[in-house]
Amino acid sequence: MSATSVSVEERYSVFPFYLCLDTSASMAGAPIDSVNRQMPLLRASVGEDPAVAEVIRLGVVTFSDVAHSLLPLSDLSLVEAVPEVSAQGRTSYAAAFDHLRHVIEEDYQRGRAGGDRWYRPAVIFISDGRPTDEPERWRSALARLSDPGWKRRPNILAFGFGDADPAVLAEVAGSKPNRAFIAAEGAEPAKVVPELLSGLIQSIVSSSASVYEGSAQLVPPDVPSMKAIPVDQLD
Amino acid sequence: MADRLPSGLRPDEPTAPGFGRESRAAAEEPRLRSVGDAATAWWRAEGGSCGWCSLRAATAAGVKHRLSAVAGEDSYAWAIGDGVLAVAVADGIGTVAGAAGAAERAAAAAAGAAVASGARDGVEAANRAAAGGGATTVVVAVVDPRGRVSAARVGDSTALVAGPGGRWRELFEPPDPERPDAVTAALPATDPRLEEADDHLGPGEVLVLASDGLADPWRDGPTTVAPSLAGAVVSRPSPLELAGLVDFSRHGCHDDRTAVCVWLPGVGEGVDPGAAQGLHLHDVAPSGDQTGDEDRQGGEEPPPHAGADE
Repeated sequence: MSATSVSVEERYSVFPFYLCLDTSASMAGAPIDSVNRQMPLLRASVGEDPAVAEVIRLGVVTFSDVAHSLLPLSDLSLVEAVPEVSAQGRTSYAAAFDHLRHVIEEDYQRGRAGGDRWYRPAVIFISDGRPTDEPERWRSALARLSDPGWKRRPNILAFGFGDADPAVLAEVAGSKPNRAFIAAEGAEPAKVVPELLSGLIQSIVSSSASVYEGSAQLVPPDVPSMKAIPVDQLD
Repeated sequence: MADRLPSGLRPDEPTAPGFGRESRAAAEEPRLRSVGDAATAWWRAEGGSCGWCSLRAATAAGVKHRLSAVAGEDSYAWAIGDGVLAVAVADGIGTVAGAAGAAERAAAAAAGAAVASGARDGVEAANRAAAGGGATTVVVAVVDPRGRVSAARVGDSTALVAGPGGRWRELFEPPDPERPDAVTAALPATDPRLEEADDHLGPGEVLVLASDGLADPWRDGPTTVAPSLAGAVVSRPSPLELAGLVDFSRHGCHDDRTAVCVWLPGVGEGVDPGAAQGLHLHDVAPSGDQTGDEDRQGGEEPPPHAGADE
């Protein structure tokens, strides 16, 4: 009874995750080395579990002066290796947000043509610094990414360490509770980054499990050396 | 994965169908639970006929549950009354501890109450029953020999009518396809989001109550899942055939799946004498053990089922 050809009317739910990683010069050394050690683990953990890999799609976006897709949105079971990253340049949040806005829409349209039905995408934003572009520029790029009129707008989880500004991260995450996190005072990047990527693996696995249970949830990574950034209450 | 099991459960020629892109995970050998019994079996099926109706019910635990060695969280029940049959399906909310127990109690309570006083009362009884711990959806329908159907639900378990030629229709409003991450309503609740619907079974038509693990791929597979299943249930499969049907392989569809199907020979085909003689419907028959659930927690409202935003 198996069908070999699939009509475009057929739909298959996928849960897209975009890892958006700061690769500015300040990430050089231990943080970037940790990223390069952990990415193969992420690929193996997610890609080798068929139940997870069927639902999760992962893309990796890096940003410094510019942003680009290190790994296009992929089924990790089909990915041989994730390219290594290197650190250079400044910290353009605007470049990251503009690139995400572009690739999310492009990936959605491509997936839809192939029969994919998307859960709301998740962006895991990781930075060790403050934006080096003008506030109006990164804020307008963030507004385009978070535009309520854009159906593909992602849920954003923001993680910061080093010189990252908690208030900026909270803004990136839409000022929602438990969506923005900052490393505890004194936490070493060499410790924070591996924890963060391990937490990301668990987040992806747990989020995929929620899909199987019929109630999709974005489960935040559990990172012991980070704490949630409080969200201001409006008067 | 170093401890991956060596062989798949499915033989080279699987008995359960595959629809569209098949699931690699569904072909994996399940991980044996450390303890198990008939009441929590991953695959359950039964059926029978009375003077005016036939019933088949089947549930298959989701692939993820099977690969994780945990029991499914769907349940079903039925009850025969004076000239009416009540059927119910409940789907435990997996993120709330005690989900399987809540589904089991809700389905049994819904069928038991609905057969006496209607579908709406069935949902209210399910709400009270679900309060013992866990959270669940429920859909309940009352059918009479003339084919009149009244149904009620809370959450995304649903009711369909399948007819000859692979035709089918939904009794309730389907979910918004643009909102696949919408969070389902569930019981217990102080003010349940109750939905009600009425229908009438025509000649050859079958009432199908389904959990979302079945209903979602049914809707998402308009050229594969929907016509195949609608066509298959119309021919009144055996209970084991129905279990095989609901256990189909489909990429990314790993939720628990349950179907309860009702045929009325008075408005459609005749009763199979063999089925009528060999099987008998009981007064109330939940799919699981009514003695309770290990995760049961006393009297608390479940936490909100926080989904992805908006």
